[in-house]
Amino acid sequence: MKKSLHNFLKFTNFELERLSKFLFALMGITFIANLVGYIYTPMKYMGKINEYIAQNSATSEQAIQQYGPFSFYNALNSFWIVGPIALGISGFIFYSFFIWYREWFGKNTFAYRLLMLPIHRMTLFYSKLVVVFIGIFTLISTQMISLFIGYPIVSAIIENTYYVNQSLMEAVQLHPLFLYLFPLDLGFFLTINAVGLVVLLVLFTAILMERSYAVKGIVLGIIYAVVALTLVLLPLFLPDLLNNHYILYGSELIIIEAILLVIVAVLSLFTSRHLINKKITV
Amino acid sequence: MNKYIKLMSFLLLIIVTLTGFGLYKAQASSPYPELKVVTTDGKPEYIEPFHFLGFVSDTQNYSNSSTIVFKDGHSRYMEDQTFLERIDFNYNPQLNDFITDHRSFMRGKSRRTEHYTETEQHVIYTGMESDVYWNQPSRGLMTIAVLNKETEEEETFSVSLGSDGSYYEVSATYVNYPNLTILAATNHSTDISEQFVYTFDVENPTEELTETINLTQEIDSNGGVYFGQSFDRTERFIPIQSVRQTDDSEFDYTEEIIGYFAFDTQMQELIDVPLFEEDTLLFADNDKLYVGKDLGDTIELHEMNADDQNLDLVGSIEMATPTIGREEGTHYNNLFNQNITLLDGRLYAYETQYSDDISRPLFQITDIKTQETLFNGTIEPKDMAKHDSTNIDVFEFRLDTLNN
Repeated sequence: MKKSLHNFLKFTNFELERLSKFLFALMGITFIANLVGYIYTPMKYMGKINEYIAQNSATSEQAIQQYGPFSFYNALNSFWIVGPIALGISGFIFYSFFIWYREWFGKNTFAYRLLMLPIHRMTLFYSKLVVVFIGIFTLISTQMISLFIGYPIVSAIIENTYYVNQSLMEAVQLHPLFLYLFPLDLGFFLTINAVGLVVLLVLFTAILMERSYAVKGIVLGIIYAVVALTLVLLPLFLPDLLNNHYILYGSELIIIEAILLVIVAVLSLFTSRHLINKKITV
Repeated sequence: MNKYIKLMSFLLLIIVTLTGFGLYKAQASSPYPELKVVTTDGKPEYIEPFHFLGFVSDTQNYSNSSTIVFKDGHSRYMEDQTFLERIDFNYNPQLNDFITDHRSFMRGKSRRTEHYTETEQHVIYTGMESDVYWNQPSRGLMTIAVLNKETEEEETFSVSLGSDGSYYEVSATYVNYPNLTILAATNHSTDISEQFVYTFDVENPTEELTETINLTQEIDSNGGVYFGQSFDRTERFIPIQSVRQTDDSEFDYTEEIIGYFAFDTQMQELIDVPLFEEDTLLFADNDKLYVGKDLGDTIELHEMNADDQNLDLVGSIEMATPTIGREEGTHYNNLFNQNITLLDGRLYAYETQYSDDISRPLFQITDIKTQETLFNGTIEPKDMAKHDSTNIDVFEFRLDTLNN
């Protein structure tokens, strides 16, 4: 047990080492883009306000009427904050494929050496899974830290007259994107992450199917993903099957979905275990 | 250990940041203002039967808005509910209570408040099959379900209103247990919707509902027949308003009230109600019928004798504003008197007040016998200095006198 845990840590650390350049790049882009957003967005707003006042000899009230007041939420809603988040999400979708296929790149495939190691092959699977999640949560943490840096910057740039004194948490709670990323509502946050975990497990299983059976594996992988999706979505059609839209409460539907997600997750783990141990070809 | 430094650092960063964020969130104040009941007249405890869902918004920052539940004199934001509570949340205060108290009974039943009547002993459901599954042609089947609140026993009947494929819409069900008086609309014989009254005896059930009267024909209304809003539906009389519709254009029409009637659920007959020259108001409370003369600042309330239509003056009720409860509005769900009602000897009225484009709900409760104002007041943010641009709008309310 101790040895397998040690192997798992070793591989996770190894995978993290390989991810780190990509992760540092995403963290850097997030920090720099966010910083630009915290400075550029309020400065642009103040520039517009000053220009309006100068050109129209207007009062600050008239300028507010024209452009509205500025709050931290306005800064959060800019491309400079939303863009890196979108980049991070798409980056990790890409990396979830790359983390497997990189092993088969090149002439002397690294996968051969990895799979020949005297360890449980599922250790590789779990390490890759955990590393993707460490990467996602590191990026979320980076975004969180960036907010605490950005908040005083924005309030320092905007003149008091034009600034809506909104707390950082108020601004974050109002932003729909942060509802999915941050633990603002624990139940929702856990649900989103649980769904993400199951999606990743299904994706890894589909990738292993492709690696095991080549072209036939692609078809199998797609069929497996579709079956998993159908199974998870099936309860949503129960009201139609039972001719009653109110036969299930929303909370019951969530509980059924949770059970089905667990079933899909366990099924994916067992399938992956079988594929990685018995079927995968180097 | 040194070789795991990167792994440890990333994990530490995640743990510290998420914990820090959690702590910061826990100590940060909610973006939504705390609300308080402001009493202008009377005592604040009288507002407790007012149970409503509202929308709290900030005119300076519209995204800073949330749904609020006001119950038993206290408010609670939807954001403060648990994840699963929010999933089952229904935008109707009465249905929310039913789901909490009678979850099993509510399963598979529609989510329209007019399909339910609650008495001290029973909850009665009357809904069409098409109200719970609208993806197939109507078979004209009504489900009548009766829950005994004490024993939790449920009795269900499936009764037919006709199998010609017409759709029926239940407007309300009045209960004088075991007799039910069901108001339902259909357009099975004409192009315009007709209102019917049906009766059903829970203890002597039949396979078909008994049609008592075609109200639209009886009243000879070319326009609409509307029913008085009731939060009780155990009253003997059902107030009815008849309107005439005049087409103003191809797309628009106006409605003019042409008469008031009351349906006596005991005698099963329609009673003509005399009109005042001024605006007339008609209410039912328990086994009495009241007619009001709307004078703006006051309502002159009369008790009407159902046999000879004689009016006895009860008193003159002073209203908080000349329009409270009597704002011209739509006949949502075929109802009139949506914001003013009599219940157990008290007059309840509500309106939205605007001051500098900021809206606030105004409530009034008056004892009709003594004409004493039991409550007159509003709801506003506790910290008015910080939240002076906060709107409070009521979008669904009920009177819950059974539990208050």
